[in-house]
Amino acid sequence: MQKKGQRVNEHSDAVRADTQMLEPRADVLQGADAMERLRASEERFRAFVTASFDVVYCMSPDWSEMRYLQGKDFIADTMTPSQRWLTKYVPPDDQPQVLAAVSRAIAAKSVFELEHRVIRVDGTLGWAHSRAVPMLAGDGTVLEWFGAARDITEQKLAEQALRKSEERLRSAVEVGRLGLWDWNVTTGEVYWSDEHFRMEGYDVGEVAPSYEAWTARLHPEDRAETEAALRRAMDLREDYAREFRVIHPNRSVRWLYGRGRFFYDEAGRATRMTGAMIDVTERREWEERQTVLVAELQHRTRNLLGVVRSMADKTARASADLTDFRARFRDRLDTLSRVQGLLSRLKEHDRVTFDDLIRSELSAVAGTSERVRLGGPAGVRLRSSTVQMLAMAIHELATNAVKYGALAQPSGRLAVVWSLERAGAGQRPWLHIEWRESGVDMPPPGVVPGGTGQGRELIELALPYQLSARTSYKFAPGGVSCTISIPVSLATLELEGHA
Amino acid sequence: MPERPLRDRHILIIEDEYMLADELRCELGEAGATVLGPVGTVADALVLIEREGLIEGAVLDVNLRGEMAFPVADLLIERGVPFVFTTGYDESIIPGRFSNILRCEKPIAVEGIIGVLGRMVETGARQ
Repeated sequence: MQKKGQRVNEHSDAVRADTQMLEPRADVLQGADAMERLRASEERFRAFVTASFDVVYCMSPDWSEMRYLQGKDFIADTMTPSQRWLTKYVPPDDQPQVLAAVSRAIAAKSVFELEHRVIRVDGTLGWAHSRAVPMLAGDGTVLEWFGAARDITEQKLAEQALRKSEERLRSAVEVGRLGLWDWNVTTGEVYWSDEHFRMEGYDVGEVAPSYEAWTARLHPEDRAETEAALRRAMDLREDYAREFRVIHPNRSVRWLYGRGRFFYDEAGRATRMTGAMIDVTERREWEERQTVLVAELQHRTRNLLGVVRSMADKTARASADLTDFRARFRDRLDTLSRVQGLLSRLKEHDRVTFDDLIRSELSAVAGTSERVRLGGPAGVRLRSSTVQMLAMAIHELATNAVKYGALAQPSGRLAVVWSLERAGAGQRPWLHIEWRESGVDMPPPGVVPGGTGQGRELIELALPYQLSARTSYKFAPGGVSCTISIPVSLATLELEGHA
Repeated sequence: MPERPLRDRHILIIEDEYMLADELRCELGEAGATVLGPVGTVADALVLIEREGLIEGAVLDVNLRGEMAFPVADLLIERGVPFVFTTGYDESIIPGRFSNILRCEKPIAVEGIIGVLGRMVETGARQ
């Protein structure tokens, strides 16, 4: 039975076998005996087809009518001839395809064969692989079509699931920019995905993928350790996970992160390794920038602590007692805090401007006063390294003015004017600042005015030392007169037009 | 009379922050040293080292106005001048060739530096 059933599947054999079986019907249709033999023959035939297939059916020569269909539990039976077979069994979307295949079969008088969807017994859709062969009369006309079909729903669903899963994987690999490899350790054959080629600076297909083609791109400094890590993963049966650099032919260096796993035979030999890589160059660069930034922050913080300590020492030496020290030290610490405040509010590439700085210091020390006149361009950008020392110097000037100078006496006046100028061989921009007090009753010649020690030291010594500034500080008849010229960054020049 | 471990020793101070340079100058001076400098840039430091006849020890800030001071360190080593680094960075930023140079983290303990320099200079002088 099984053997014959298989033969029916084969197109030419099926036609011959079926024709032979149905031969009595065409030639010797006489007598009850003959009819009985015919019936028996048909039953035998139907029995083995039914045993081999889920569905057997019979169609009129032009397929307009279904004579019968036995559908087991797959699709509903048709026991009496029906012209509504198409709508009964085939969902609308698949009907054109079925009709087209039918037309072709009729025209050629040869096998109808098609995979299509069918409406199952429970009303849901399934898949059938259907074949029908024409039963030919002696004159070659089609008597009827005999068909058989198998339920291939599970197989179809499995195929669809596989296809979906492959599509998902492919799209994940593409979107995630994964470079894949599959290394047959035994034969040395290697598969690379397209992205893998590109990651290592090869055109896709430019080389035959191999272990050597991979190591050829490894950065010389990383090669030994990366290969050793691979061997270690193989020997210890651990996952391989490593970041390494590759050098492309255009000399650009990329960081790649690869993860892979070995497979072994029964003897414990590694036979295969599969894995995936991603390009992590941007992340590495970002990490390096972070490291530099953190180091810079550390450097500045520690320097600042050093400055605070030496400021405490200096203040202590100049203070009469602890109360005096407390007031002076707090005052100076507040200046440093304000500077840090100005600096910390900056975004990248921003700079503290001189007008910000002078306003912030004067208003902190002297409040707002009609006796103070400020004049100069706005937006003169200061290097961050300049800001702290300049602020401390201005703070000392302002403090002295409030205690002893222009802002201590009703007749006193203070003017701070500044300007930008290009000077020197490189035409570097300089910021000239003039601090001029007037209307101040000065002590007689020979007597040093009060509180000048630290302010004067900062201006005459610290600014030239630390900022390459040119400075002057003198006691004029009407009060203190001080000039500070400091080189500012070239970026300041670009803004000069706006100032 | 306090101990003067650096008496008459010629010590070079290389530090860009005025306040720190001034503090070192005062305290090394109090410890008896003849202070050279201070200087605050790589260029000034190189000129001064080339020019000075006698330098017996140095304090070198790793970062001078944003520039790494390693060329200065190389020149000091070439001249056989013992020195210490002062730095706000951790050691990873200092190249391996200076691994035997003492590193003082900021804010520095000046007394400690004076002690270390004193021993270094003495060792150097005996050799």
